[in-house]
Amino acid sequence: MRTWRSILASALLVVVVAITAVAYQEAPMFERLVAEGKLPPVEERLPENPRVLEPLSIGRYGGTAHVYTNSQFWLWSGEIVGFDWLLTIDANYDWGIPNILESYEFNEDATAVTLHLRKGLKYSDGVEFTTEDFLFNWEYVYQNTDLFAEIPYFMVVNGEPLVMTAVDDYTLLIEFAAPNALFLNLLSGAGATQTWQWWYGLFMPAHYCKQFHPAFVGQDTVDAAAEAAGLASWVDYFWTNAGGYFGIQEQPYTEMSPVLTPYICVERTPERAVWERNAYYWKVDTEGNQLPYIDRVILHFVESTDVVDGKIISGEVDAEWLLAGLDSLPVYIDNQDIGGYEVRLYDTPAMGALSLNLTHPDPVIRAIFNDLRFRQALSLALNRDELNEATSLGLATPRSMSVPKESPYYVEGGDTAYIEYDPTEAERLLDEMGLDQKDADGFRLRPDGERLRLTIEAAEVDAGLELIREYWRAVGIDVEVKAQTQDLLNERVAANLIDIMPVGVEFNIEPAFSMLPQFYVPLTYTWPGLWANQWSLYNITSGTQGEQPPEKIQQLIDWYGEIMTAQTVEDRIEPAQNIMASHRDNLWQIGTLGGAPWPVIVKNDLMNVPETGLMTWDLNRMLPYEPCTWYFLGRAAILEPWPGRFE
Amino acid sequence: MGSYLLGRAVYALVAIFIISVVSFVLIQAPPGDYLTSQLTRLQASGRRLDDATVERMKEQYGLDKPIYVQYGRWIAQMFRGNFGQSLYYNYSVLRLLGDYMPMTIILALITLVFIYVLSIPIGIFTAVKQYSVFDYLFTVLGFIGLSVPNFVLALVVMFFFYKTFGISIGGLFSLEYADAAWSWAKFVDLVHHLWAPVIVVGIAGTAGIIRVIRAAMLDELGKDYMQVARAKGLSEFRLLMKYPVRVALNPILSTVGWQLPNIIGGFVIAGIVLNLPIIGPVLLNALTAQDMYLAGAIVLLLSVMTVLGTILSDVTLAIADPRIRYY
Repeated sequence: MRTWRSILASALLVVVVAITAVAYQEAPMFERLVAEGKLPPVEERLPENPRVLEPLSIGRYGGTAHVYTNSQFWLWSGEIVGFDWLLTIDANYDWGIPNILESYEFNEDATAVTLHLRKGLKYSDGVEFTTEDFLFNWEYVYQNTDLFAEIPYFMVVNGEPLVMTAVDDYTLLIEFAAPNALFLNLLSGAGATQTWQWWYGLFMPAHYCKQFHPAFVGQDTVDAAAEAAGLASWVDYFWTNAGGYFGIQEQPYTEMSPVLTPYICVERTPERAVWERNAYYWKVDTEGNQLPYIDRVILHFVESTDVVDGKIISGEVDAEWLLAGLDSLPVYIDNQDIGGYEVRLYDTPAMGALSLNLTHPDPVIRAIFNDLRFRQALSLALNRDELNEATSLGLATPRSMSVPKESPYYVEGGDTAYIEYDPTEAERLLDEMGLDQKDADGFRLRPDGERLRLTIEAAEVDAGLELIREYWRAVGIDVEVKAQTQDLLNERVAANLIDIMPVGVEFNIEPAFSMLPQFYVPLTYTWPGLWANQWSLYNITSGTQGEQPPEKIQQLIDWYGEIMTAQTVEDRIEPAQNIMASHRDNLWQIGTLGGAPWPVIVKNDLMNVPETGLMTWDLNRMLPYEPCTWYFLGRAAILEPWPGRFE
Repeated sequence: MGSYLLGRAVYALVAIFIISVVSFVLIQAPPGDYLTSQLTRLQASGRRLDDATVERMKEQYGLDKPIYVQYGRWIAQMFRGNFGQSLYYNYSVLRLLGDYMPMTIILALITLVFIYVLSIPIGIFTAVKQYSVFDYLFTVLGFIGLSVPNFVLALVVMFFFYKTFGISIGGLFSLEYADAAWSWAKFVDLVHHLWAPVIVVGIAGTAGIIRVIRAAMLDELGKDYMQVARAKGLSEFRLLMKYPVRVALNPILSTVGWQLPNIIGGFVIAGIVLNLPIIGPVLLNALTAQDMYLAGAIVLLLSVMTVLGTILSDVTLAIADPRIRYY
């Protein structure tokens, strides 16, 4: 991983190269509007230094992309409309690359960072993006106690909130009470409008959001507006209208609200959402064509993933990567020719694991779970190859709890600890630790003479869990699998009532890992923090609740502390490797399979979607492959702007 | 007749009140509330929420109040025509009902017509030709229709329609017509898409009614008045239509009132599988997201339809069958 300094240098170089070759072209959709004077020419709409992307091939303008989602909350592949961050990741997984920002620099000890905005960068309504958007967000949203009961933890360093100063319209200085290089991760994920933002943003369009805020329009006005809209309070009113900028309300995009992303929402009904190109989008290709290429995106809300599968095989889906399941892969491949699409497989750093509740309320079970031999035995009892065939068509890789090999935090052997299938050794370990007594049914007894009964609880019981139950029963442990609704499951995790549950391990690579390594460090007592429930609670509440973690767990917490206060990205490697080594040696969670590929459906005439790639759920998904550079080969029908958009 | 109607109306009001309480309580019964399901989503996306924020959100949604206070608020708002805001869709409940109800009712009516047009003649026919090949054939088909869950049927029919006629899977319109203004071509497109849902949901109802009619007809066919009428020289067709069929239709009339809400209910799963823009899937979403205002409004609406439908049936039956008297 390169340092942020060298990233900065290379980004500047790209910008310099770009400046020497300016002659911007724009989409035909806007030509008439520019001629009629309803829209300024493209040179005036772009910032002084637009971000230059090198597409796989230079595209052509036009066309409508049809994408599908089965939820009113998640856009799923509707995120083709783009979500831009202040800093971004590229296809090589280098991160911290200037995106909305032109550049940034930390001071020597990382106690301050200066952000340089792109001069002349504008929202989709033509209003300039300035430091005021940061200040509004910081002073009137985060520090408004109605909106935020307390300032989010990442904006507080050493107990003191950060200090934000606007040097001028395009330069913002942010200072911390102590070294805070972790802020780089925050900048890397701080979004413009987006759903799924898994941490809060840093700016909002002040000129737009002020109209919903009592400090600018008066308390009476917002109260009356809330009342008229049938909302409980002005807070609800503010979030309903401006929450899309925050992800606090996952309702994506309000019609015509200003954005920095490639597309602007022009229509939103319960059945669909329509986006159209943002006239002020600030990225161009290497020939100076303003992006995006595709004119319009229509997101259809459907009722189930089965419907999406049906739409895929009948060729109605232009691109799909989040709802296309591996289990349907044979069906997708069978119908490629009829549907006129191609199935591609992308890799992922994510993996699956089983969490044993190491702070179980039953002291007998807790003692058993905390015996390393028990966890080793459970791991050895799993036939991961068979599991792979049954759940992932044999395309995944057996793996113990670890970041992927490509990560700088990977430690030797971290992904192969106790993953071989050896039920004999498992039985031997169980016997050795004193679980050698069995009852008439052949199940092992606890030291107190009762049968050792354990329950795996999951929101969805699939073939994999059924197999796991059989593997563990085969070594004499009476395991049940129980399906619960996700809500109940979450409540039971928080109340520390669960024995074992499966988790999907995400946040495996930067910039997500250092922000929230909750699968490796006790950071949450709610989902997915079952494995160290009470220790996490102790950690979060600074010892007022929960139970004090044992030394080895406290080490994990301390190492994460070192990551948080590390002054450079390189300084994070050592403590992160320590965490990984601890997981390898202690099997805190039992890894199952990793890296099952991710089917990506691409319509034959949709160009510039890479043949292969890497995808992670939590962070980037299609982002490094810049959907704004995708285009249609055969149907570049030039569209008129959406009715009413420019009236 | 007047006092009979009045009595019915009073019962109906009481029934609707009880239904409203029961549905509100049932919607609230599962653990958690809308907020917990929203928090689940936020947590699933990795957000850490402090307790103060959660408390504040609870207050905002009025979820910190006891359940009878929440019910009181809800009903009071309902009387003022304010059905509240759907928390899941973030639209007013009224707008959602306006968006989805018309197509739902149209689809349900077409299905109802389909059921009756198909099942009444078949029912009569199988009774008259009892133990014939056709009787056995329709009996077998009928039982298949009754026993196959309609979501399975939906998948099969959908795939069949796609493979044979190239009709796009799911929805009521093809992609190119979804936006278009109403035209003959769009209407034809709609008709093409209507077949699948009507058959899927209609088939179980059809099978049921065939059995009812057949049984009622067989009861009547063996009665003495049939012999008398034949002896007097009445033609077989007129005889059938004038006496046994009229009697056999009684069970149909007495259920016609709640067929409509029943069909709408039948469209929940089929609506999801077939991706129909109707109220069924909306109801399911509202229930899983514990969006109590939306779910409550839909359940109440369906209940009111059932209650009114039942009154309608009673009255029709009273008019159609002179043997029924009002007590």
